[in-house]
Amino acid sequence: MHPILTLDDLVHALNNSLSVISGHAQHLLTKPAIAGAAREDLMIIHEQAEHAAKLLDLAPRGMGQTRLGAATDGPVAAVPGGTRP
Amino acid sequence: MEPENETRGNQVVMVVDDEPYICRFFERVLGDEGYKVVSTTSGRRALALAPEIRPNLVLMDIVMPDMDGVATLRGLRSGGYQGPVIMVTGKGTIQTAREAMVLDAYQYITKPFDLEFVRSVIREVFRVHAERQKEIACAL
Repeated sequence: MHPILTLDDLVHALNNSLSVISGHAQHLLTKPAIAGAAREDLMIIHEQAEHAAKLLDLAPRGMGQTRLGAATDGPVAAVPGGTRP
Repeated sequence: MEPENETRGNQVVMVVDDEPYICRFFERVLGDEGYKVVSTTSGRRALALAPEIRPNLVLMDIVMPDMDGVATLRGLRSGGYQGPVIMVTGKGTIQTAREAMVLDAYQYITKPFDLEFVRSVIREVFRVHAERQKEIACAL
């Protein structure tokens, strides 16, 4: 997992997480067995993940290398977001 | 299994992405399509795996901590892998993905994924690659 040191790193990590959410939701939506309210809920998850990704596109690119956590004089975290259960 | 999917079962796709859940996404989607999928979260591991599993297609993330996608692609090419590669990228690294096309990457796909687009790109890559192989065979 990439350490999150800059705004670019943060955008990258959030985009990865949104890709996982949206991708898995789309995959489940291909299953005919998932129907009714569960299907509607999955569609909401997918739509909202896509909406959040579009909002993330608005992050100011010019500040991409701005270091995060300057007040704490160090990186915010190297978040192990991808650990499988 | 559909006849077309049986044929795909002979095709090995190697997925290289440092995010395990993205690997899992491709395993599920491409597995449903009938492909055999081997994934790894490390570029270095991909270089070690490639001669062993002999992939027919590689899906390669660009931003990875130990060895980035472009360096891994370069390593695969110098190791003799001549098959198609699809670069996987966030919008911030599209320029890098385009640069990877110079290293004979076939295509790039952007995150977040559009499932139908991912499927169609992979089918297209296999189709174009098969045609090229036929042309090469005919020319020899």
